[in-house]
Amino acid sequence: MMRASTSIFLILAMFLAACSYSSSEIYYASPVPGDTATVVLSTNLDNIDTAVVSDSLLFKYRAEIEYGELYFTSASIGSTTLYQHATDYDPDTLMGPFVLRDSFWIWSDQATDTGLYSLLFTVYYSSNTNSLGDVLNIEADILKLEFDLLVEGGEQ
Amino acid sequence: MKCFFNTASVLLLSLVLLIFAPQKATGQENALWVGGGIQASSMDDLKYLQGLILETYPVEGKIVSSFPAYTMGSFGWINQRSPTIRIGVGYGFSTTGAKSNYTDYSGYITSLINAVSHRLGAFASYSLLRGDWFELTVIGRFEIKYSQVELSSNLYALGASGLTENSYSSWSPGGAGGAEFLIHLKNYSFGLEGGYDIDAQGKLTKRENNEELTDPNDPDRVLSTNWTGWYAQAKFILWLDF
Repeated sequence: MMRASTSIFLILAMFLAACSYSSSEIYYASPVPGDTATVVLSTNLDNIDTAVVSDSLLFKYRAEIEYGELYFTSASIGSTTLYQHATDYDPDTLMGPFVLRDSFWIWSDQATDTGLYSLLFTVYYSSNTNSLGDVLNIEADILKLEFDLLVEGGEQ
Repeated sequence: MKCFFNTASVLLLSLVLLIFAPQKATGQENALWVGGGIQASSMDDLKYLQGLILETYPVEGKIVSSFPAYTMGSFGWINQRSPTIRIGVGYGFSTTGAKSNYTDYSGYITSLINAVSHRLGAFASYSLLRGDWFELTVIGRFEIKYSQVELSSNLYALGASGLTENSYSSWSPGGAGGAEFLIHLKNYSFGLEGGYDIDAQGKLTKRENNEELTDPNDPDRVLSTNWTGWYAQAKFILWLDF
């Protein structure tokens, strides 16, 4: 009986010292979305069914956003990125919508071969969901436009 | 509660021992004890700091836990000086903490404050009432506390993450007064002790460079731990043969 008592005593002494504070409680929030951002995107290829790239082609665009922040624009054909642009401005200082005008050249040798390609132009802008990701500017809504490109002088 | 043994376990084991014990403990002058229970703590400064940390959130988080009464434990040595007086020395610890959190579908922010105090002290008890099997005593304790406080904030959102951690410590003297009810068996006793712990409060300093943890709103004020509060613990005492 004495040995059993001693053993229990020692086990209790050891394990009591292993206690530490922990809590599994969380506060799960349901963020209330703000105004939906409105994005108007126009390009010089809007009215062209299939743009032809014989040697090069200038792509011009205008992106206008209201009630939100424009983060990033990019363009690609297939897995090849043609263009990237990150905006850097403070939306709180603006009195009206933010307008971004820019352009870039598409070169025929950026395509792997001649033929018909799809040019994907993507605009990333604030989701205005008021979630943690949105507040940290790492959650975005995405607007995509696709254009048919006929490349006539690609890498051969 | 991250704890292998809690008060219920101690009581259950003590009950098992009671069933198998035919005789009471008599004539033994030295003993070892182990105890486990809960202790409340005021932790005013750390509650204030928890509020300040919450204000830094980019979203509206909440305090989900703020220094609740939590685990304590103790063990040590007892010497019976006379039929009514005992003295002893021992080690004790108590833990508590705080948690603030914001979680939504995109991620979370969690801030934790984890506080542990390690105590070395001496006690004396006086028997007020004693029967064949039971005893009621008053108990007084003096102890030195070494407190460790770990602060951490963890953010995760849509694949992005960040973690900050800081570690602080403090020293403080303290004392406690209370009462204990004991049931004596053959070679051991078990009982319940309750009382109030008064902490002199220890100033927090960063463990890596001894820099004081000051109030962001009043740089002349150093924040402190404060373990003042009530406690209750179940005890198991093993009487030795010398």
